[in-house]
Amino acid sequence: MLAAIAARDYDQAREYLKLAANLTEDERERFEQMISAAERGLVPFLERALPHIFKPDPGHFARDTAEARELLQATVGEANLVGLQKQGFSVYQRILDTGVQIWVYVFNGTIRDGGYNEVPRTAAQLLHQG
Amino acid sequence: MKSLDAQQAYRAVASFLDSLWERTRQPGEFGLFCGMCSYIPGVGTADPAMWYDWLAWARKVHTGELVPRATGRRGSLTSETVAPLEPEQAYLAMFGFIEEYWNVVGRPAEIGDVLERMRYTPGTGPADPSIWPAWMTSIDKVVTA
Repeated sequence: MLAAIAARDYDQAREYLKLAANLTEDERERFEQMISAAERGLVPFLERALPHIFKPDPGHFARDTAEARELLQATVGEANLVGLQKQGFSVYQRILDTGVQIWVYVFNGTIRDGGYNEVPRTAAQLLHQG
Repeated sequence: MKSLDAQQAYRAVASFLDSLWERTRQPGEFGLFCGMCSYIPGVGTADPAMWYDWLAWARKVHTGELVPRATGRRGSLTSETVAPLEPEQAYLAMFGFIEEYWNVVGRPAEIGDVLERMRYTPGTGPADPSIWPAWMTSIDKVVTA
């Protein structure tokens, strides 16, 4: 399925998903979101960064779900770019209707970190300029 | 050298990491980690969870027990739960803190190289002799600020 997504063969990826047995509902939704996100050209996650991104700690989504992935990936767009942090990664943010701020770090074309702030931070704070 | 409270010690960690990154100013895995660890006065760490990871490692230096990651338990740690740290204790806590992140994100070589240079032998110090003076400078900055 991942190979089909990488090859941009989304119909094939959906076929594999249909055929996949033993997937939980959460896993199925996550794969559907992965296909949809790739189809829409959203910036992907770096696979090995996922255990750091999704964890039950302050500022992070506790679980790796389709909804959490969508919130983070949909934040990465020109309109939400805060700027380039001095160490060379891009910082994105957006405020949801609930008032919660989604924050995302992108480096080398992949999402490397992200989560949410109950109390939104300013652009200067997000760029670590105090 | 007086001991440091958990927040002072963390500010020294952030300053030290930044000074290491400034030596090369190369965007990459280590720079990304340094960015996540940045300390914003009055706000906390750039990645909010980094503060709690730090507290877990700083606490471990005294108690010998690490509050496990990804259990939701670290979020209840406070700086008051961590006893003051001597420079060597803070250094060892920092090493564990960095090493844990390195393990979680698939052991990128760039951070592995930094850890090799930082590896600490009691009585001798870090493998790279330039590391300890940089650490003490970072502590001085915090203490005299």
